[in-house]
Order: sequence, then C-alpha cells, then structure tokens
Amino acid sequence: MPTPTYTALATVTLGGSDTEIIFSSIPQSYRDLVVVIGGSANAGTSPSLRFNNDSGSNYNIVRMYANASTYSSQSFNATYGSVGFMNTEKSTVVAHIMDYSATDKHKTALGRSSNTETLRLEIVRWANTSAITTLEVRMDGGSLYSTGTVMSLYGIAG
Amino acid sequence: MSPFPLTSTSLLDYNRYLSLLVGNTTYSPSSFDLLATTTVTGATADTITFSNLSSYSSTYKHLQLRMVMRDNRSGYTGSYARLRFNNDSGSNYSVHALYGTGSGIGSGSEINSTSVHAGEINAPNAPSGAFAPAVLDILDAFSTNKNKTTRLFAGTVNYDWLGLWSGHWRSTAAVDSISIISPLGDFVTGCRFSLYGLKAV
Repeated sequence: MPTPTYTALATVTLGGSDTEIIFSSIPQSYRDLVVVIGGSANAGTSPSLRFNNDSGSNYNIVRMYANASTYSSQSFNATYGSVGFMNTEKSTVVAHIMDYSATDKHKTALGRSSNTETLRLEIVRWANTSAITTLEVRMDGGSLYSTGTVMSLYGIAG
Repeated sequence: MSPFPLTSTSLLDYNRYLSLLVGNTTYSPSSFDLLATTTVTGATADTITFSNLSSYSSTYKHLQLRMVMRDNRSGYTGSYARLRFNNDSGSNYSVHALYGTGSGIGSGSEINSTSVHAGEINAPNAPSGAFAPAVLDILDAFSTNKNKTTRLFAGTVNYDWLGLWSGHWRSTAAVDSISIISPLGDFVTGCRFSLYGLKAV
C-alpha cells in the first residue's frame, strides 16, 4: 500500500540578519530529511549542516564544482558539512540527509546547489551513529542569509 | 450490498478532512509516495529486486530510489552498485558520468553495457557504520513509447568519489521490475533501498 510522504515539517522566511537556522526536536518518524533553500546571501559562502550541536571536526566532505572559467574537486574535514554555495545571486540548494534517525550508521548528506555563476555538488559524512534530533543550517564564515530567503525542511518515509 | 463495517484497523494511514466546501482545508493528495522499502538484515544479499511494478503504471509517472549501501568486499574500501530493468541482462544500457575525486574532475561513458550505474558502495575497509548514499530517478518509467532514462546523484567520502550519472535502457517496455546489484560483494545488514512513485497530471 503506497504511503504518502515528502511531508513539509517546517518553513522559515528569513529577514536578512540570520547566519544560522536551527531545526530542533526533529520527529524521528521519517527515514530521510530534505533541506531546500531558495534565496541569496550577503557574500559568497557555503550553507552547511551541523548535527546535534556537534562542533567537533567530525564532518568529512567531498566537493566538486564548476563555473564559467574553472572546475575543481576537493576533500577535507570540517566542523560542519557544506552542502552547496550561495552568494548575492539567487541560488537554490537541496540537501538530502539519509537515514537520519538510524542509530547504526554514520549520517550522510548529498547536497547540490546552483545559481547563475556556480554549480556545486557535495557529499558529507558525519562520523556519528546518533539519530539526528537537531539540525543547524549555518552560513560558513558568518555570512548572512538575505532578506526573503526561504528554507524548508521535509521528511521522507522509508 | 450490505454496508462494509469499518474498524479502527481499516484506517491506518489517512488524513481527515471535515468537508471539501470552500473555506475549509484544501484536500491535497500526495504526489510523492513510498511504494516499498527493503532493508538488509541478517543474511547478506547480492541483488535487491522490486517487482510487479506495472501495477503502479496508472498512478505514477516517475520512480525514485533512495539507498544507503555497504558490502562485504573483503580488503577494499568500496565498490559500486548496478541496476537492471525487467531482468534484461543484454548489452542494452549506456551510462555517462561526471564525477569529482577530491582532487580532480572527470567524465566517462559506457556504451552497450549490461546495466546502469546505481551508486557507490562502502566496503569493510571503510569505517564501521559508514554507508554510501544514492538517489536515483527513473523518468517516465511506465511509458511504452520511450526508452528509459535514469539520473543518479551518489558518492562516498571513504574513497573520495562524488558525481552525477545518467543511464539509458534501450527498451520501450514499461518498467515492471528493478534489480539493484552488488557485483563485487554482497550487501550487508543495514543497507536500505526505498522505492517511491511520483505522480504527474
């Protein structure tokens, strides 16, 4: 029997002074989460995920991107997991957080973003088997989400 | 016909709408439905199959697979998954890839393959608990006048591999079964494969 899903859990419209948004008390009744951001930032930056307030260097990232003049790929560790790129141009970011409520797996996220300048793909592994109950979507380097930027969180059954 | 007696167990998954009159909550049926999930538990498996999918052809337009994968390929950090439709193991598939390796960008293609790429797989030399994620879309899955195409977004940080893959199955048959294959090892406990249907109007 098909189960309706891709349920909207929360949506926020930002006012221009936020560098981070925190979704807390995330219900554990879904399999995956999807974060969708539509908008811009006050500078070139990476919207990034931090789980359960873990600010340790526990996030492994592989990135690839292309713009009109160059392309590149990097891998690195960080204290958050980057899932895209935003700047003053209108940008879209979609991040899939897989098996977020499992307690036997490290958590992974697949992120992609695009705007008129840059296409970026990223994968993140959070080296922790805890279920994700708090999700922080923060701007790298203290940049700000621009006024009118919309961020939505969805839950997908599985 | 006598009335069918509803019991509480008849209503397991529903939204309650008081009325469809103007001013009340809009009736909004889902456009994205979970059709099935297979989770590997206990014994390993080299193939995961979703079958009898043609029964969904009148309801859904596209399909999506969401997966996390790990296998038992001894001595390795990773391997890869492949996908076939309708048990067709002929040389009827093509693949194109755009990928990043953590230090460079590459592209590639396969012509006349016997399957399409379905994602990366973490293996025993990857950290315990590390599974590789993949999201794969199958477009116009039930069309009988189009060849079938796939779009995959997948990767792993355990051997720095990330990318987009397109797949092409040279058949106009409606998709009736999907097999996800681990050619170099067996899927292990914790692997998850969820199939979704997307509606269109």
